[in-house]
Amino acid sequence: MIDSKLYIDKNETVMFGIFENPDKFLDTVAKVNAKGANILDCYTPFPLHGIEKAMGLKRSRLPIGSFICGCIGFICAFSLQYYIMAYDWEMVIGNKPSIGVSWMPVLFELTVLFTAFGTAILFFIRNRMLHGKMPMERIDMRQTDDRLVIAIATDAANTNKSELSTMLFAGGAVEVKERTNHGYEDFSEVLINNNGTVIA
Amino acid sequence: MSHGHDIHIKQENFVFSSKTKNFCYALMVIGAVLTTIGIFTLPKAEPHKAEGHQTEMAATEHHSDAASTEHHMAAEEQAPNYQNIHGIDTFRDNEQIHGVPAEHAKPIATRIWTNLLLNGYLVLLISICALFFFALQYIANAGWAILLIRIPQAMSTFLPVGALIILAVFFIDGENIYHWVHYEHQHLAKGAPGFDAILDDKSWFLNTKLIVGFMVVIPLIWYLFGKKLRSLSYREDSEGGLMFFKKSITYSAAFTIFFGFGLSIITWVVMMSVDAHWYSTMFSLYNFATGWVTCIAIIALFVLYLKRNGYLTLVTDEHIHDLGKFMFAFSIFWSYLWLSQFLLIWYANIPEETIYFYKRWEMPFKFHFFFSLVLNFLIPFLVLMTRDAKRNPKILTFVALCIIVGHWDDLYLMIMPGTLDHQTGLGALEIGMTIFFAGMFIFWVLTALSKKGLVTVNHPYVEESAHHDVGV
Repeated sequence: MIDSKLYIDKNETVMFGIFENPDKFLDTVAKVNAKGANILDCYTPFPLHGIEKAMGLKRSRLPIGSFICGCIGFICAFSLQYYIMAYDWEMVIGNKPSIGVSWMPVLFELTVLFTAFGTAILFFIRNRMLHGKMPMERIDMRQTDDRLVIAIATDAANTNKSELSTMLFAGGAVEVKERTNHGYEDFSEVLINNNGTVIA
Repeated sequence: MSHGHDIHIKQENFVFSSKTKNFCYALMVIGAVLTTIGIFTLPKAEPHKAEGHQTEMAATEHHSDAASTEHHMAAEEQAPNYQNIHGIDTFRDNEQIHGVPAEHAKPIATRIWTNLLLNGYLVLLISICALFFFALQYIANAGWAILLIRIPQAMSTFLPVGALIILAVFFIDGENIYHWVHYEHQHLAKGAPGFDAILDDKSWFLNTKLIVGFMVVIPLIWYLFGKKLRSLSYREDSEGGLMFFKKSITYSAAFTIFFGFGLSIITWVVMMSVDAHWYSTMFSLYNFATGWVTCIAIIALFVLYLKRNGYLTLVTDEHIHDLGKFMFAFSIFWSYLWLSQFLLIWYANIPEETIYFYKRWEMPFKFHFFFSLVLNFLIPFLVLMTRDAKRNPKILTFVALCIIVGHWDDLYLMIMPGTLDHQTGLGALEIGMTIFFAGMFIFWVLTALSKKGLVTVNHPYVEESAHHDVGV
């Protein structure tokens, strides 16, 4: 269930591109993804439509989890009522059959309850946001305010860091920095002319 | 596709191709032929026979129909019919056990008018729900459906047809379809033989003048609102500007009030008064669910048709996915209401309420009882559960057709037991008339679509709709 790809603490060196403009951000993320870079995660202060496609994320498996939770809820409700109403001590209320349509509300409610709670809990587990989890390192103070951040793993030997940073700047990043074991390293801003080619 | 910033919104003009026209004509001709065959092969009406073992109570005019024989037997064994014998209204609860009294066999023509009522009511529900869908986008400030909003807009033009049909049926054969009309025409004084305390109590509401008033005024208000909203939308196309959008919000909000209350009243007077002794407090909502989910299914079918013929180029899988979600969600909503209505009545087991389901549980209707549940709940629920199914045009078409047929059957189950009862059937007449209505509806809507552009180019949310994205 735990996907190491999104777990940025595990990577030795991570490059962060910090953006102002969501449209430029989206385009750049798509370009970086097309280039084959290992995008760890994107941090945006607001939901950005289309970001999961730009990042090349696979479809979430959360619905499958929800379905299984719902099935568990249904089985629980069924066995609960079967045990109480029919097996342990048969209860006849209003001359109605003790197994039947009257079970429907409980079946419905428990299925919904298990699905809702199960989905929320699975979601938190999947995103490592469970209660008690220490907050992740803040990459940039402004990432919850007005900046959009892309985190790219640069551990792999074949990563061309200068090309990557140039690409981020060309796409409209206001700042690019890299976190290594020794701390942060800032990439100086590259001057770019109107054609998008690097001057210096 | 997901984040193209510069999608060019351009107007599209739908051309009603002769192929589709011929399809509509074929539907109408087949429907008309089948209807005619159905009319000429109607079984002759038999005079009503009570079951052999039951003594008819000559003094009371209170015939029992075969479906509620057991009820009558039980009631009559336990206690004599106080109210009818003594002519005093003392044992009202006991009297209510009898539910709908079947007066006499209906004339064979009633079956034609009942079917007309069914189809007229269905198209009325669909077209008013389409107008509500249209208005809802303005009230909710919703942007996703703006690219396909012309389809419900065109569907809402069918409203007068449905309204006129239910009104005409009421005038032509109301006496035989609605037993309270028959009762009203008898002008029975309190205590007279055949006096019905329940219908008498309800006569301040269930009387011809008020009902005809409702049937005329409510659709008229809806029609005027629809006309205004449509004209605002068309003027927005040609003139542009935000003024039309703002005005539409105001009119939509006002319309919603009339829609909510009006639809409730229409469902009571047209549909619930078929079983005038019985009532359910969730009947209007149940009927709304029926109309709404059918309306969404039809919108989805039109969108898929237009997509397949190269129109609505900007409508993507995302929009179709959302329509699928609507169909899925509101099928469950319908089932929820169905169950709520059924379960309370079944569990409480109060005779005057159970009579409604008692009749539907008996043989000519038992099949429809389960058939409509399978079509309206099981198939949409199981088939449309996955995301891929909602995005697959073939699966969506199949489920949409199931929903439409299922809700037709649902209405059949609402009307027939209270009107025709054992004289009903499902033959060439029923199927033919429905096919005829389908052809007429498609023809009407596509004609309306072809008159104006398919895209609301100057709508402020049309860009948002073009960029609609429901995520991975």
